[in-house]
Amino acid sequence: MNSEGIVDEGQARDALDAAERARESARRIGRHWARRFFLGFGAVSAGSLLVVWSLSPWLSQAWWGLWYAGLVAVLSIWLRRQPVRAVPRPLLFLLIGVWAVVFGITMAIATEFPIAYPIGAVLGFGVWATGAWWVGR
Amino acid sequence: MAFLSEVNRAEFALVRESVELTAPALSKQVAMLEEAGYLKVEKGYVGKRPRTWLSLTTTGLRAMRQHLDALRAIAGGPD
Repeated sequence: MNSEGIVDEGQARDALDAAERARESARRIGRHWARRFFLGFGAVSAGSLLVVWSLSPWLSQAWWGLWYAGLVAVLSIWLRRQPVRAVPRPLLFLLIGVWAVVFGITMAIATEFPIAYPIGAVLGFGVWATGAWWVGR
Repeated sequence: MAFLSEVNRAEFALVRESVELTAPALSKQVAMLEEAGYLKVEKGYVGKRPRTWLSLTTTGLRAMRQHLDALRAIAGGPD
């Protein structure tokens, strides 16, 4: 790529303006889809914890590992389906890590203290909502 | 390229709508940029629907920055 064809200041400014409009459009669309992805997955993961809470009296703990794996699969499939990917990888890995810790701790202690399920759901959603806020700043 | 410089990757259809080009016109641009090594094109499916994702290569991103720097120099100052 070079600047051939651009001969004067006015043309250069027009080209810069057009580039800036395209970049701003990309940033806006990227933020929109990233927020949607984070909030959507936050709601799914929080909802799944509430479902686990409601089913916990009837299902053994062995199923929860599968549940967890299912959620991770949903996350990766959903991420692949995004029409635009603009989430910085470090932020995504950080959110997945923090969420995994919240989810894991919730599952570990909720067998003794079922109230941990709704608390974990709120905290888990909070992790993704924080991500949504971060990308939307 | 300016659009793609702000995202990791984007679907062809989304880029087309955003830059307000027709599909054939964008396809032509994409083919040229891919040949120059500036653009990576990935084809796949979402469900049964075919999708094309576009992303800038490191070379493309560098070229884009150099191009913008050159334009700024011509325009006479940082923008």
